[in-house]
Amino acid sequence: MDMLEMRNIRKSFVGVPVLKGVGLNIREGEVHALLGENGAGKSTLMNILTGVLPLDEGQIFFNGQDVTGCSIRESEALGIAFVHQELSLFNDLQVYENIFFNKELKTRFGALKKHEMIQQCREVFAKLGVVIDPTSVVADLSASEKQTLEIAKAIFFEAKLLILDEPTTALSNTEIDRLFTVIENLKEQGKSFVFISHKMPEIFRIADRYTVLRNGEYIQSGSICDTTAQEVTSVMVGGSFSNAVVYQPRELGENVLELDGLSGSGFEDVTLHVRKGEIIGLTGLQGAGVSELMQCVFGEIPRREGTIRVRGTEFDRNRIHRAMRRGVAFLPANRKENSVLPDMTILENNYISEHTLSAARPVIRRHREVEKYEAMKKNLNIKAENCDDLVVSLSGGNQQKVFFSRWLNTNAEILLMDNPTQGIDVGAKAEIYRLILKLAGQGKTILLNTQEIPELQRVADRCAILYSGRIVKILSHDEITEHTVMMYATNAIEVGEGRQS
Amino acid sequence: MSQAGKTRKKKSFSIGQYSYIMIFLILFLVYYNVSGHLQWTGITNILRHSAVVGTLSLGMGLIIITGDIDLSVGAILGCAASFGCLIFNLSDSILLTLVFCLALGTLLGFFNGLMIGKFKLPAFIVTLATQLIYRSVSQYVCNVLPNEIKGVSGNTFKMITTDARNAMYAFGNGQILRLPTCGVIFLLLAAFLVYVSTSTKYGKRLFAIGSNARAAHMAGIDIEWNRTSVFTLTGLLGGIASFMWLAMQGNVDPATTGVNNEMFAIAAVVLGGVAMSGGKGKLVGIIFGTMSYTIIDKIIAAIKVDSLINNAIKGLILIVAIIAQTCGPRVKEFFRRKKRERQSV
Repeated sequence: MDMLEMRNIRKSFVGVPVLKGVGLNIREGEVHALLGENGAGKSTLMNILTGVLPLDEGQIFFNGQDVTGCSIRESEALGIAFVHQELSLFNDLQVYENIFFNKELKTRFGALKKHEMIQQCREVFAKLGVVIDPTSVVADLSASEKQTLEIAKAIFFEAKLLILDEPTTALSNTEIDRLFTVIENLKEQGKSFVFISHKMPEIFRIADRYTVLRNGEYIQSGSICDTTAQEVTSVMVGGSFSNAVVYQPRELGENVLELDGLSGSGFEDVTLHVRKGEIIGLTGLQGAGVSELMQCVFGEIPRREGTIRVRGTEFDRNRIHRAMRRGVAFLPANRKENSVLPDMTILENNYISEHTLSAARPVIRRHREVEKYEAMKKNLNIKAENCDDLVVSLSGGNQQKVFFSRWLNTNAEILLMDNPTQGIDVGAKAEIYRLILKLAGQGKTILLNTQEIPELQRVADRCAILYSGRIVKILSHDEITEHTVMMYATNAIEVGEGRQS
Repeated sequence: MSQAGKTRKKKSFSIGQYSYIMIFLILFLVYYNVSGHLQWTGITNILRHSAVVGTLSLGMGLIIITGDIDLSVGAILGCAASFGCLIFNLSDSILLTLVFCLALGTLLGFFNGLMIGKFKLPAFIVTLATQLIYRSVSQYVCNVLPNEIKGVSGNTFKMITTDARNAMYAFGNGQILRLPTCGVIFLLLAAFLVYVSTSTKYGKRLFAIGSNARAAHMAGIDIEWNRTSVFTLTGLLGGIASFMWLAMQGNVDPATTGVNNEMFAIAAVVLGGVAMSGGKGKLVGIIFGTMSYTIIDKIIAAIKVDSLINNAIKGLILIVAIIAQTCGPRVKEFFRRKKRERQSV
């Protein structure tokens, strides 16, 4: 019998149907991948399951019991736990305090039984195979430890079904391995998981079965071992998707960006010369210093040594504004924190950077801005109704395109992109990569930080791999394979060579 | 242009967005009723008595839009007016007094801005401190100066009666097109700043900083300088307000002039629909917000209640306004759902 059965779920927001009769069946002890593009209705379905949203129609059975329309509290009591994408931990509290938050063990007089709580934490962590000190402060934990802590918290209170919403977004590859080990352990103990992710390799590694939603409709489900990533992807996007981001070698110009012996906090002695129109993939494990390197070139973090030259002229001082004046643009990682101006419209988000360069003409000429935006909208294929809508009304992919546009507006020649496809669904991802190729074709020079090697394979002319702040290898386009990149990124090569000599 | 026209769609109208006009109209009607026969001067006096606090509120509005706060505007008003009066008594020159008031206000605001923008200290603490400093310094100086320079005995300043003083007083209490001069200055300043906040790159930068300072920084906006500038601008507005005060009153009490004005300014900004969290709101609302508060004073005076109850009523109105702004959308959503349920049954 299935642990969870959701039948014919329907839900509309303000008259717009977002779920049109969706079903979901989950067995005991399985990892079930819930797939679909952004806006397919995955989150809504999960919010209905956990009682966050009321449903319009349909039925939910959990362990054979009709639980339709239960509240958040009731669903928690049933053992359904939602581990959110944005973690809901208290950074300033200790690990065990987070686990027992609002459920503290108390003596008769209301004093906390700290030792007992810490002891219980240790036991659960041991059972999960997690190595975290219950008394350490959450702020000091790594991203994967925080993620595991969330899961541990759910397990602690007898969760039977855990919903993981894009749990690996902020994790490095080794951290993902650790997380997956924990999931495997729990699976053996009979816990079930709903696993929401956009990353196909992970899904095929961890999931047992899958269900695909598209535009609020149930499309299909089945066993992961009976399908391929290609097939699932095309089912998700509905046939219109093709993998046709085709790399073609381009004519490259002269050197436009030269980094020589560049050092700063997080990276050491980086020398890299980039030619006009080139796409350089920068990759490395989390903390390898790629992001810091990009921020340094953009003038956000200071450089300790070395030179940055753009078209032959050296940067004298490291300031964002100077970098912008020389045609350097930076699309930072973590869109919500570093790019989105949530209270402002699409148009305003689009022109804000260019206006810092043209501040000498203080008055905004709206019709010109709209014209420029419309041209960008066409060039980048931004899907937006009205340029006066708030930027947050757009989907993640389209928001990211607006920020592309924000920087292209500044007439930047060198685009630094830190993880530009973070939190973007498959279809939009492919579009972003197509866009990157198109921009390079138009003569823009692009530095791209990503950990998704298949993506690098599609677009990068060269790939520089960093290991603890240093460039360990620069691969040409044909040399980029998942295996080679991982070898250098984890520094497995040096270890191997060291042993030989 | 056709493309531009296509993307320009009319925005949906919502009452919550314009609650400041509603509140203003309601208060005005109450005032109209309790005051018996309201004369034209009775109406224009609202504008006249809004001029000083209104000018401060405009600066406060810009600061709140960037997500900060300035608790020293009242003290800047008191300080600039005190020293402005002193300069007048020494020089007997209107022009010099004007220049001095503006310069001192700007300087005091710039000091705030430097601390907050450049040295990244929290605005609440910095301006709390400068509020104490600015006011205390003016009181101290007033106390040690001889009466001849202060123009009066006691701990206040009074402009010494000369032709220049009379001319300035006439200016401050004069009229342009049957409107009080200071009120007109306030409206002109408001119109200018509304334009700055909606149609200039500088204005949009302030909204961007208030909306998400980190993202604004990463988009190339110089946060330090823009923060400094907005506090400096508020100082300048404080200087203008202090000159208006002198011209209208002819005297200053460093201990009381401008006391609590920062609170009224914040209240007027909030009443005008600007979000305290920054990044949201329109400066236009502040004009109505300030005038609503002035009307409350006048209602209290008209119904002959002890004016000590003024602030209690102002506080209550503020709470009502906040409820209207924050609960309005929720109430609307509730009714919309009810309606849908009725339709579906």
